[in-house]
Amino acid sequence: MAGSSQELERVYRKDGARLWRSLLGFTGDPDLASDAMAEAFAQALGPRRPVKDQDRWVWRAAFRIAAGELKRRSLQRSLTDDRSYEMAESPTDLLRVLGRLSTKQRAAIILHFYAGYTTRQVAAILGVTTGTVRMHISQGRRRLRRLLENEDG
Amino acid sequence: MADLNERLRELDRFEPPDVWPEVERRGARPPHEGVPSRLRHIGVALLALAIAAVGITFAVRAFEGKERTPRPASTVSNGKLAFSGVGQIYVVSSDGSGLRQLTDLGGHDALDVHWSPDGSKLAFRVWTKGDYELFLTNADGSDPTNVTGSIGVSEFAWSPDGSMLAFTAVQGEGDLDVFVVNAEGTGLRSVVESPLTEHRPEWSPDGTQIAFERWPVYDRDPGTPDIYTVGLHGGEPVPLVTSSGWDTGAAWSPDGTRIAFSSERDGDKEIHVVNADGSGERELTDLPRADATRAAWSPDGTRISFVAHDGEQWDLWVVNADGGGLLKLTPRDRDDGPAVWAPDGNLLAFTASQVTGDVDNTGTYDVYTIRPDGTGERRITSGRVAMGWDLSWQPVDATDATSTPSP
Repeated sequence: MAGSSQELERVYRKDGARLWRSLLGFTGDPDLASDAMAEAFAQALGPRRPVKDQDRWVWRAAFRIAAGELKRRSLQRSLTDDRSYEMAESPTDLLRVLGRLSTKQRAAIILHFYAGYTTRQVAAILGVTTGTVRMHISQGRRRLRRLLENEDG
Repeated sequence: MADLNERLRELDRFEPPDVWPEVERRGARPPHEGVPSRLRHIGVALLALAIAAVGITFAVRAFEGKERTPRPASTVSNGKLAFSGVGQIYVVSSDGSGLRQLTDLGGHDALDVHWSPDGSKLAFRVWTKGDYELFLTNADGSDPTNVTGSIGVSEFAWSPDGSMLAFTAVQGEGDLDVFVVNAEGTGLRSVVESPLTEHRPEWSPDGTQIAFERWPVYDRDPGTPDIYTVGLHGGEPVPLVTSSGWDTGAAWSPDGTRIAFSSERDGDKEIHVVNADGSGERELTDLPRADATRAAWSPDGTRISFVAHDGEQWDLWVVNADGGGLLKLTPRDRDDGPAVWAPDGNLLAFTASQVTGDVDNTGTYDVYTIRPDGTGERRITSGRVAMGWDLSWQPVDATDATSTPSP
């Protein structure tokens, strides 16, 4: 049932760990991952709660909230064209490398290659077209491979 | 370079914190409140511990109030434990024997299992056609029957005589209200209809009243969840506990004179008790920096079990109904869920999530039993067969051996 806390707990129980880790990959910041996840689920209890597909709704809300916070931080820092600025200084190679992708590339890569969503599902979560998702995945993947090769090398 | 999928699996090493308590807190906040900062410090610490394991607690609100049948404990013995496993309902004897899957609903998920007060039937919710519907089966799993039609059911509770069930559901575009239905599936009607959100109906032991939570609507109403009661035959709900903090999880004492609940007054949740007429409220616990919730009375009404989250993990506690004898039953390095009391009062059962190196979002719990003094803990299932905190202990009439189902 829409919006019931119990249905939502079930989504949380099934999907919470995967969502949190995806948000961690996206933001590089465990605090922000926790914050975005908690806020997304809390909003799903509210008047704008989803009437169906609660799980997808929560993913979309969580990524939107996390992206909003990254944007706010980037504005605060007033940095210019280095897209890696958005993520916090990360304690692992993987998170650091992910942080060098653009926000949209990073979201698409994580949702597709880590969370296992199809490009169509990723498009629904990010609110963009599947063509845009494919472009971000393609560009992000190429860039990520290069970055990881450098890391490994 | 390792394959991209494989490389991204490194994220699995990070242990997510349990943010559900925070979700509930925010879900009930008035619109003018900002986002609490409580999460700020836990993330980094968890990150440092990341490679350890997934010791996640996925809080599952499920099962309060299964021991409230007003029968003398001496005439009741312990039947089987029922719990929700991956997608289906399972039963197991309290010695760990006879574990089996009870339901097979063709791919439909079943959860929130509650034995009927006489132990002859099981009620649970089933995911069908985009919503949860309330089903009953016989104790052996036969004859699954939908008793609520297409209305989506949230929380529910048996009436003490087993003739009815109370539940919360949404009708139309509204919020959750309280309904009742006969166990045969007839006579479905609303008991509470309001523009607010009602949760967790709990039937008084004499069957005349239902206690429930009334939540403000997020981003619309000020205030916090409160506890109300309403007569079975309608009338205006009566506020029972309406503090400025969170008041949730009403649990009637077996004699119906008191109600235990969880209340947040000074930054964390403690267990309180109040007389059924709203008088004589007192705080039973005062755990520093821990949220105590899910109170459950022992069948003789002398003790109350509950769980508390200390910022790291959930532990199971008991306290005497007068506030003495506070005891942490499970001081282990794992997450322990809230307990159900054995019908004879001599054991408690709970599910716990053992910290392991595995990464697995489902079936992370096993079922345990322990004596109320904290001794004799036993893990009675293995292989992490349980999905969450959802657990119910079958009462069996000790004078009628035929009511015990065969294993």
